[in-house]
Amino acid sequence: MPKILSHIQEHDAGASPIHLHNITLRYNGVSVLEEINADIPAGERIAVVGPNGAGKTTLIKIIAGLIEPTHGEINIFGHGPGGHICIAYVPQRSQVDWDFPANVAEVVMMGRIHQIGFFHWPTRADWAIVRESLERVDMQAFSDHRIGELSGGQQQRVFLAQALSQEAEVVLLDEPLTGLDIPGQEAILHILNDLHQAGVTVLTATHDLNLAAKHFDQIMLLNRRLISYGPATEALSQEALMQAYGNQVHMLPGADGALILSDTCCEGDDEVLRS
Amino acid sequence: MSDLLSFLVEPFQYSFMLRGLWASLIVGVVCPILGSYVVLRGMAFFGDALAHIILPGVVIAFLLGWPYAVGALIFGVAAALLIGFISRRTDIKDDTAIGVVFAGAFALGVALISLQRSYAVDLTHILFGDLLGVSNSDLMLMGILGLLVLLTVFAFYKEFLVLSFDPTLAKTLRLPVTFLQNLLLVLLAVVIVISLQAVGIALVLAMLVTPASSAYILTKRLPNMMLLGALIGAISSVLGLYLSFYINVASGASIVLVATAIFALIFVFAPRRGAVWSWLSTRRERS
Repeated sequence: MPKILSHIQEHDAGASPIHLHNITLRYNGVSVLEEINADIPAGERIAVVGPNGAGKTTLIKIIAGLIEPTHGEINIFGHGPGGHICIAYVPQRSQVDWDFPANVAEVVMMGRIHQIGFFHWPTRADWAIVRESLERVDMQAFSDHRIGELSGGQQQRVFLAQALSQEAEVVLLDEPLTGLDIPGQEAILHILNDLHQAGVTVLTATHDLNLAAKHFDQIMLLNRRLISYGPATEALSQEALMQAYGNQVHMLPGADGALILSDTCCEGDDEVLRS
Repeated sequence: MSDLLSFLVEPFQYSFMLRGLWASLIVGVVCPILGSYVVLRGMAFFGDALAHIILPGVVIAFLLGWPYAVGALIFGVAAALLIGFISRRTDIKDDTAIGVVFAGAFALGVALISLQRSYAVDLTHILFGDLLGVSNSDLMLMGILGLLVLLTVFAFYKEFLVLSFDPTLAKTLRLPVTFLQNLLLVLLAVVIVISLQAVGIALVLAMLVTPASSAYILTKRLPNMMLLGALIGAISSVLGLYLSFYINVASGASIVLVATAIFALIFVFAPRRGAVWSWLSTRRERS
């Protein structure tokens, strides 16, 4: 039955987890993304940064297989994203019905729906994986809490636990740190670090250049085009930032030539497309 | 004591009342279980529209001498799929697409009835139900269709759960989203057909959303919401029938009135999420 309803894609040995080739998206004639090319090696932590409307959310949705690009090709472990269940996508908080009658363990179990299969119910082994996933994000104490009772940071951690129970190899996050206090941010970054050590590829959209530079291996600086891609020291050069942020970037006069960005976050960022 | 017993037993000495009881129990149990998804997915308007859309199907079936359920099912399923198609494939918003199809189909039904010179097709029975006119074969059909709906909801429980909680997650987990959405619409059409004789197309919506939303206020998890909704639906059906028998009001209306009264009680007095409780807790915080 699952085979009839959906075909699950095998991975090509040696293929990179995310390969973007000339990704272009136009929406009603307006260019959202232009010719994005990138190859992301396994196990890297990538931060996608750029000003509001740069196309960060859109790029993540394309990688998740939720939006088809107008041109170009995207490969996940060697094949298009459509058949993969190894991709977890944690959208911005606002997109879920928080009043839904489901508890934390049930939400985490949702990640295993394909492993469980049609017409089957979760086994003891599935619940053990759910428990373990919740322990890894330090949320086991909230297992039977209604999802709406949690704080923003706790909800993010539950969704990361869901990605863990899904046994995802590519985790995509859209502004997971926005609106969290410092301990909340630390907790999320700690989990991302864990995922990284487990060899999971983590791609995070964020507007916070400092966090991106400090906690991620590679930076993709985006403003419809891919301006730069590499370690923070290279990708966030003065020239690249000027190109990405244009007149939002100001040079402070002084010996070290510090830059100031007037760009602020982030609600309703490039939401040109609904999935 | 024996007065009370005879008070309780008397209505059901009539076989038409007994059949009405069974029919209303089927509706009272099946509607809230599927209705939980209607409540959680915000499909109340869609459910109401779908109920009205089947009117021409019922009339045509009657004119052709078919069982009414066949015409209703064909129209219900076709309309459900048509609305889904319009709102997915065009820029027209969901509720507009529903409105257009709903009003158009209902007008077709009214027109067809008005063409009939004889009053063979009784509009009020279709609109408000005819619980006491349920035949044995009607009852059999309701039972079979009801069982089918419950089995399908059970079989696709976790898929419908993910689809209702987070449609984006359903897509990234590569669930067959369109198939599941259409399946839910077809189930809704079937439930409406089951409810047709009990409460009529004008009041089906109440059985879909009222007991389920009462249960929503009191429960934390979907399975509990469904079971409690079914219990409230069944209680509404039985109490409604007594009310109908003893004070002589239309049975469909009295069942819905009982369900509404239960909702009002729960809405006001429920612990934690009821109106009184939240009023008290805001007062406590202020002082």
